[in-house]
Amino acid sequence: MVESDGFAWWGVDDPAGTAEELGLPPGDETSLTLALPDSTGRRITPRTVPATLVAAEPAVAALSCWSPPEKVGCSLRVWARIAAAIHHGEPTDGLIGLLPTAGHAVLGLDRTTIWSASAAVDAARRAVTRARSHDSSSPQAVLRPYQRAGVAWLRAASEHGGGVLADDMGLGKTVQAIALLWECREHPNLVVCPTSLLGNWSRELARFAPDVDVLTYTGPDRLRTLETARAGTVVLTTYGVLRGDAALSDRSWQAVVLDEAQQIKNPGSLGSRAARELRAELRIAMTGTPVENRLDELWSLMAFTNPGLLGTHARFRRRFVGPVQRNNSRAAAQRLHEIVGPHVLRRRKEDVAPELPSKLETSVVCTMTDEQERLYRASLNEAFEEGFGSGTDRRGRILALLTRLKQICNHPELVSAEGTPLAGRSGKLDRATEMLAELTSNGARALVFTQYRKTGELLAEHFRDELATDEVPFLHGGLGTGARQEIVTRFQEDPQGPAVLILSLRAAGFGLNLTRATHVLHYDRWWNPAVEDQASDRAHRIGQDQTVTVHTLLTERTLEEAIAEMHEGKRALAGTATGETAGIDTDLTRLSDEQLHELLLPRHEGRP
Amino acid sequence: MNSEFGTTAWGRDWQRLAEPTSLTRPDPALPKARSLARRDHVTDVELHPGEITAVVHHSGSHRVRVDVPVWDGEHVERARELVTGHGDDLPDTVHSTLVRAGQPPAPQPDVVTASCDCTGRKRPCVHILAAFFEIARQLDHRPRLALVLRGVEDSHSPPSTARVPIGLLDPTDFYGEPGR
Repeated sequence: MVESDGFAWWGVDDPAGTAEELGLPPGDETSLTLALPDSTGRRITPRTVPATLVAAEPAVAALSCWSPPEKVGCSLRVWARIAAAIHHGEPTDGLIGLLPTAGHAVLGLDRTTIWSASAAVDAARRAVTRARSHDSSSPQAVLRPYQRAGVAWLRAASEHGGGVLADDMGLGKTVQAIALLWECREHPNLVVCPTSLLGNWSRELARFAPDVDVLTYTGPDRLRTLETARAGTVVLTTYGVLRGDAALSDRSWQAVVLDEAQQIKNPGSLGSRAARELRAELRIAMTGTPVENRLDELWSLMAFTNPGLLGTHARFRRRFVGPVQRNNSRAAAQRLHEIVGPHVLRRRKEDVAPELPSKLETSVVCTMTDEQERLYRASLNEAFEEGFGSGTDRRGRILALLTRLKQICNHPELVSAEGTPLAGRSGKLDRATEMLAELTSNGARALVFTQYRKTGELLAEHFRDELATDEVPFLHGGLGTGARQEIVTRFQEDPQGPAVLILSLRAAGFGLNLTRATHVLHYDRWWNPAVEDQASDRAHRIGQDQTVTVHTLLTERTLEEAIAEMHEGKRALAGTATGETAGIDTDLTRLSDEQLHELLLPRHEGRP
Repeated sequence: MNSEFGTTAWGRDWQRLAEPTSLTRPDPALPKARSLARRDHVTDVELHPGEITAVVHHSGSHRVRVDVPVWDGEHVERARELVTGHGDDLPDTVHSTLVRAGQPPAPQPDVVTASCDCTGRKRPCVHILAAFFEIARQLDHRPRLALVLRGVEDSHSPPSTARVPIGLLDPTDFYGEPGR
């Protein structure tokens, strides 16, 4: 089983008992969906059968020194020979071809494909090698089994040009890509992402692959930096740069990764054409939107990852878009899936759920826009020039400054009303909008928490426009009990209810049951992480049968990142007694001017 | 062109058998034939080297049989070489290469024989025409079938990808040969 590092015994009524009789480890009982011949023997369909699971290493160990009795099927016989080869470090190439389909028929987590014989054997070998070596330098060490399978798939995709990694949000597409980039050391690699994600990528690269050289390729003087890219360097850039920069297509890359690849969904756009002109051995598109239902977008992505696979756009439109979308042809849809299925890896959160903890927490680091940085620095300068005074006065003034800075991080419009459109002015707002668009297009529901009433109102207005829905309710303390209850009931119980609910952190602290949401976004940071946890538990509580993903948004290089580091215990506040009192805000008011200034000043770019 | 039949060069050959460009006035049976194929009234399509059989449901069930000449060994070998290295799907360029090599995948109209067990006198009858459209559609989806029809039997390419869609799995030998 490629995506869970294990072996499954199946094919008899009592797999555990039979395994024991045969002298193999019995394993844990479960049921398993496999691709099996139907009763006519002419078609293969998914069917769930009783099975037991054994971890790869003990299974290989047992099989390697086992001599199969007469009655045992071909699949198990061949696996015993493969296990012996793996065990003794011998090649398995000649054995892979002998393995019948039954030997690797477990349905993949994508529910539509099975892993090939060679992918299954590779996975068994990898699992055994890893169990023996305990190598912790590679990012692989922190990956879950389904993610390791994803990385192996990405690596093998180079044989066909590349592939589309389309796992649901929260399943770790970025970390899979980073593990892949870590292995690509022959040429420089290129990552293209939206501006709002640049900070997140550099932070994740620093965290999971600290030995990889990262170069951010943006800004007017960028050309010089590109020359310093060496083999193995990851060059990070944006779609804006990609669209107008010939230097990127002039050189050869080993891997090119397009994150949020729906940015090139329009095949004729400048960005799509620029992407197709990039020269690379391995081309990966990452997206969480349901590409299989958006055929022109699918064509555009695959024209980048697997040029030629779907033919010209005109032919593709005649052959598939028309029949599938206009005539609802199931045959055409099924055939299209056969063609693209091997090259698109899309696993849904609910299918991976057994492999996941009940709550996943991620930080989403967002880029600061120029407008935000200008306002942020101006506010800092002004406050420090005026001075904070002393005593209670000082405390009040510092808190006022912190609030202002946090609001600038949320959106500049909150502190200086320009009346201009909201998009493009706040890294967090842009990122949150992208995330919610992706989640809602997949049918997921999300809670968005903020501590400010004005921010909540701004978010509600913006999401209504951008998510094409007139219903994005905002639950806050100003509403009466009846109104609040109505919002909760409609979100929790009405099938037609809204997909996104905004809540004020304080109004929704406890009591509410909002388990219909499987994603929680914290739009701003509270001083005390316990308050945030309590809010997240509106979705993550009894009655929730899915994994809840908690996304904490923060603006890079600002006090939000500093708060995050204090929460994570990575940063101590010199000269204060953290933990002794109510929280970080109290601690901050005790800092000297210099300490405070150093903490709040935007740090240089590129620092992790 | 807005037709759902003949969306690739492979299927177009068979769509043209139903609607020859030489036709001076439209065959009144064509709209019915298209609609039968579109609404999945052509079933049990069996496609083998040299012959296709199908059942068309239209005022009862009618068996249609189409025979085409298969290539000789040399041509089969050449076609096989040409598709080596291609995946399960074939682009139109393979089709045009075959045409240029003087070995078009489509049989000439005058060597295709089609029969139907209906009592109508007109040939091709609406059932045969419907079968042509269905064949066009199947070849559009699976261009390799056009080569199977001409005698390239093992044209099923073994999947080379790390993940294999269920629809491409071969049920024969699923469990392997005992004792191997």
